[in-house]
Amino acid sequence: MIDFSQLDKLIHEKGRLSIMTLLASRIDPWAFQDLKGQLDMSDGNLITHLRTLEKVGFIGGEKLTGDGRPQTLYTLTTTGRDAFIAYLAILEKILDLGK
Amino acid sequence: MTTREEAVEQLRVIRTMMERATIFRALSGETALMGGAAALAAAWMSDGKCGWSWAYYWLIGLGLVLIFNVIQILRASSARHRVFWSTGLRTALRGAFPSLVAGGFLGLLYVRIGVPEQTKVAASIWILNYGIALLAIREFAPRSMIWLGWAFVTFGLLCLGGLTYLSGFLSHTVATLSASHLMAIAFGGFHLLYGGIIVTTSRRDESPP
Repeated sequence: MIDFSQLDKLIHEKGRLSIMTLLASRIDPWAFQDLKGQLDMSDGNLITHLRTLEKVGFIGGEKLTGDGRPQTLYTLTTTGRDAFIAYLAILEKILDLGK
Repeated sequence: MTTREEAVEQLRVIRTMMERATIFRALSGETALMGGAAALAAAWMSDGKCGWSWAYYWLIGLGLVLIFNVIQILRASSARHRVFWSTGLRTALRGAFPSLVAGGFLGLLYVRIGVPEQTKVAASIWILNYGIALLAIREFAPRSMIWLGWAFVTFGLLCLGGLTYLSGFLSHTVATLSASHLMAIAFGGFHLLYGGIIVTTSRRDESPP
């Protein structure tokens, strides 16, 4: 039997799932503006989701200043990657159950 | 919604995001600016000519821009420690190639006739097919490139419509313009506009492709 409570509720929300997927898709960090460009979210909504994921240690943000506009670059942490993989494994199990 | 349906929906979200993350900018802002400038130069030099003597300037300009774009991609891939022949580049070429080859060949057939009106048809076909090529890679292209593709397709269709007397106003407008003017508006103007927007709005450390 699958324990559905194992589904990480933090990742399960579509907005945060989208963010986690984008960050997991490449090794290079994602700038806030790039994430916004791919997601249909307002600035405030995106910031809230990013802060939630950052608070639990799933993602890391690095603020860059210097020449030009300051920007924050986001990457998936090891904890975040493990949580994402575990989440995918549960989804896979659910789908297998229906076969 | 059952748990299984929900899982399927979540996987759909993941797939969409993964696809979006593979976006490849086949045409960098710098290349577009260079292409736009080269097109204006070619238009100035080829104005008043037709047939092969007209196409000669455009083929040279195309060659120079292609070399510049290859150097740009090489620079970007080396700065990011990535391979030149990337998945993004392969996908972009695979998508754009048929339209570019067909349009290029068809345009040259009209160039071969060697009269001004047919040279205009050649220019319109090149404009239209270049737009179709950009739209062929829309799934992997940033939104700005999709807009650029639509601009070329719309303008190419209007030019062809004018040349085939689809409407009086359109025909009159196209009749006052030469093939070089049409090419200057599309390959010069649209590229300069696109390049200017990309260069001024992209984040400072963004590498083109």
